[in-house]
Amino acid sequence: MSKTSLRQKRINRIGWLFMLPAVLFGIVFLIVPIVMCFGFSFTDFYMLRPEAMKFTFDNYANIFHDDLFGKAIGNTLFFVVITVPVQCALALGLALLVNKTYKGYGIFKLAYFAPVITSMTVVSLLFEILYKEDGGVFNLIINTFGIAPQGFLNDPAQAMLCIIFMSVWQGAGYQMIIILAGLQGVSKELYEAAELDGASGWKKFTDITLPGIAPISSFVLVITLVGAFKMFTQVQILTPDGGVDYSTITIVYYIFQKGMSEKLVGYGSAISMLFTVVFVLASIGKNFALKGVDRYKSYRAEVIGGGC
Amino acid sequence: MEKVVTAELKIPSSKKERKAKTNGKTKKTVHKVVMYIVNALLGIMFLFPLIFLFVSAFNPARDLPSQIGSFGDLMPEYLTFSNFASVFTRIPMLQYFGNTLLYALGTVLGVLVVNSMAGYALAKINFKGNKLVYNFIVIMLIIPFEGITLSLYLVVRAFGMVDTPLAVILPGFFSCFYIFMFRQFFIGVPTALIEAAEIDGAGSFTTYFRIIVPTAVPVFVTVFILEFIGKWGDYYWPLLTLTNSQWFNVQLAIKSFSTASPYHWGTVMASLAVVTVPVLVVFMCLQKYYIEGIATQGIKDM
Repeated sequence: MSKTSLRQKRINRIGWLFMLPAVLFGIVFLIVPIVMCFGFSFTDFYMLRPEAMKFTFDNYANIFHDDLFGKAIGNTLFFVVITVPVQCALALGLALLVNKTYKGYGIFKLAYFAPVITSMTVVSLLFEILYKEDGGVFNLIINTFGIAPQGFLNDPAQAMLCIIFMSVWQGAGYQMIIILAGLQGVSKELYEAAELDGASGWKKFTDITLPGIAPISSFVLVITLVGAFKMFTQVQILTPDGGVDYSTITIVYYIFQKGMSEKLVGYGSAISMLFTVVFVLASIGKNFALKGVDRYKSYRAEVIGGGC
Repeated sequence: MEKVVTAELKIPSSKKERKAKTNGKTKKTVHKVVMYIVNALLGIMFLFPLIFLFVSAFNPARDLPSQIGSFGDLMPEYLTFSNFASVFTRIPMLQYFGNTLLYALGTVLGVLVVNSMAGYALAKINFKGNKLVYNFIVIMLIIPFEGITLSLYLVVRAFGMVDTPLAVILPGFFSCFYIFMFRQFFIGVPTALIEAAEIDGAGSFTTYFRIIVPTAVPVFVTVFILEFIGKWGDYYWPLLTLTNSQWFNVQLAIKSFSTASPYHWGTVMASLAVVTVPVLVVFMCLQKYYIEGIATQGIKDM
């Protein structure tokens, strides 16, 4: 045996010693639960009678006939499809508003970011009072403008929109900060050159700003998407039991309801598995999307470069 | 790209240039004023719910007025601290604060130790299996916590940790995201620094804790504040694992307080304010690191 392999052995030992705590906690609190979730999804495990557990494929068969699950998916998709673009657009707008470093802009940044630091529980309990049908603040305000009081959370047609509005308000500052970092990375010289060229503000925006923040924007879209899919706290607090006509029941809430409230772990695990698989697929899709953005960026650079 | 743009530069005559310059200056001032006004208006609109929250916390009224003629009607007649006093007398708020501090600091401590060591090993120690572990962690980054909560709850229950602080502290220790973050940081640490220390006869752990960790203070602070604020606001997991109100964190406490009778609107608002202020203070102190932590997330992911 040569000396290097002895040395390598020592390195291996030290490396794994450094990894040890992470490996232990990772196995117990991540790997084991994933395996358990997969296993339980093929059983009728009922938390109050664990001894009666049987192997079954019924969970997966039943999911597709479960109207409430369909509703949960529909609601979650509705939430995602509206929240993601609106929140990202708002975040981009806010980032552009505070991008210049005039004196005192820290205050504005803080104003837009403050809801992010306020926990979702606090925000939800606050908006519960704002959204109240009788004597809620929003109804009082629109009343002074002569608009009839709205049902808000009590109205199945409005409840999810109310939750979207609140979530966008709470979260936009987070994406704003990331986009801001992207904006500050765009070369100032490009803008100066464009100004000398007499480019309009809009042209500068579409030809310099947007391509400049394209990579970070795709990241922003992804984290907003991921966060939106997991939405839970808002609906649990604002619209208990899934809201009027289950108008606000979401996938994570449904997992919570089946698995924890009704103790049907088997069925809850099957939904969890589907939920997780969708996530994994989505992130594979994300990688394709990122490649697309890269291609767009180089295409963009070529076109601008060649066009001028 | 830049080359082409500069090649196209037109050189304006000096008169035109001067005119353009003054034009540009007034344009800039107008732009500046407009931006201030837009930001101020939007900022106030944005902050309205939070302003309302903090003002109402000092409002002596039992309930909102049933009709308002103007925004002034939402303002309290006079300011009172009694709402805050009743938050602390009606529920053991101090204990909830203590619980939450315990959960947050306990988790943060574990997170810092466990994930920084793993991140360091992946970045700087070329042990057998390094690549494999790293790829595994990148894949595991995708797995949503919400997807495994049911079985994680069963694990925690099997250990007999339900309704104990351990239920909310231990499962948070391991984090693929933080391992990834630490690894990205440690990769930038010069290997010569480590070699020099080891030539001096320091063992790997001594090197790590004496030499490496002090160079990594910013990333430790960033992880600290991200995790602390996250844990402070945690609701879903404590809701599953803490059913005994003695162990509630502040978020569970204000949720249950909001439905407790007798209902007093101002007091509920005061409880929300009380829970928010500590995070605000922590944020204000460590703002730079928090923002950096969020902002660099995007860049590092590229």
